[in-house]
Amino acid sequence: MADAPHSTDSASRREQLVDALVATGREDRPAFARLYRLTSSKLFGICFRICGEQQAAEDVLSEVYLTVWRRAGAFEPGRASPITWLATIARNRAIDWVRAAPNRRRAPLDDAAQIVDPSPAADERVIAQEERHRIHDCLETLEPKTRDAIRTAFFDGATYAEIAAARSVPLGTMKSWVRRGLARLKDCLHDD
Amino acid sequence: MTIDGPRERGPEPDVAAAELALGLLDGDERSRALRRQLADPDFAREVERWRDHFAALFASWPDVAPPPQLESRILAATAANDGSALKSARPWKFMTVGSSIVAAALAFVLVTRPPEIREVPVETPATSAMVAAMAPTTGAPMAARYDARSHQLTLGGQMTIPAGRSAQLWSIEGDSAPRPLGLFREVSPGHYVADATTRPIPVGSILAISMEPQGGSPTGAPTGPVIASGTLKEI
Repeated sequence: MADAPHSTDSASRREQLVDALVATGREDRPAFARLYRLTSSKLFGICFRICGEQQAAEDVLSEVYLTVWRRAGAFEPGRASPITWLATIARNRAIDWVRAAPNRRRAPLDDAAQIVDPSPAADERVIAQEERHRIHDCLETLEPKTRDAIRTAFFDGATYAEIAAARSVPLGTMKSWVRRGLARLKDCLHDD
Repeated sequence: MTIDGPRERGPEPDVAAAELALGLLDGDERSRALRRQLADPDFAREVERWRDHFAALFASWPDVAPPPQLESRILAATAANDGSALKSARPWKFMTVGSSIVAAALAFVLVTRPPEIREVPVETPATSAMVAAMAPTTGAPMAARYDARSHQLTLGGQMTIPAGRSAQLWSIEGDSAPRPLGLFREVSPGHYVADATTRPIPVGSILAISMEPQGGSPTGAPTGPVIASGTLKEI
């Protein structure tokens, strides 16, 4: 691996996370507190961006960790990365909150494009390098408007209707852009 | 009315698996994709693959530190969430922080708990026994028998339920979103039973079994891989 020092960091961090999550599944409270400290900034970032407001993000984060506490026993270390497992719960919960009431669509969906491919901090390298690069590289092959729409869907948890409204584009047009973009993404991702 | 010119015309590609994984769909389109996820194992696997691809984007999600006082609130809430805390002297804490979880849990119990009062007359179809050949994604087909009077589905065959997971029954009726039903329990080797709800499942519905976190899908929609599906038919 080209970046061996980072890989080592990420491997040990991933191990720490798996240990904390598996122990949480056995109702180990100190492990749960450790898990919270290792992951709360990432998960709060997710809740905060999708909910778009501080109070809601705090409430959703609480629910996320309650869910994690009750369901950590279902985590399968061999099947999913721990941070992906946790981040998926956070994203789903935040989206549920936004969609539970019609007027909750908050911050305008205007800056998903600004979440550029990062040079992630060492502590974010828990997600497999190869996978991360592949989807980023493939997204780069799309037209900017399509890439923006797909990123907005992911990072803001937005539906077609919401993205179309935010971009002042007819719904059918937005769907058409994104569908073609996803088809190209699929070809790119499976091109190996 | 596309503004992209002729290059982008023509039939639209079917990328419903990616759309479902991203959460782009709402209303009928979402219901349709969810039904497909349950009825079509290949489609379900594709949804999983897309979820994995997009999950790689989590690495670029900016961190935001939560307020420091949230940590003690959350740790206290899980202490209250032990069940023993239901009898504790400070139920208010449980209510304020965990109320939506409690509501969700209660709703789940109400939906999935086997009906206790069987005397209540329930409208049952003329034929109360129905069968479905459940085609699994791997292994041999399983025979399912649904009894609309007892609201139970009995399944014969081999099902591997990993520790910490539950096999959940779903019905897909007409155009509506998949309806979550009960969890399977092994009553004897190779025999499983799941409780449906008191509302009968109509003939022609598709039954599906998905592997969910322990206790069933936390979202009301299938989240795990589908392990078998089949159509309910009259005997």
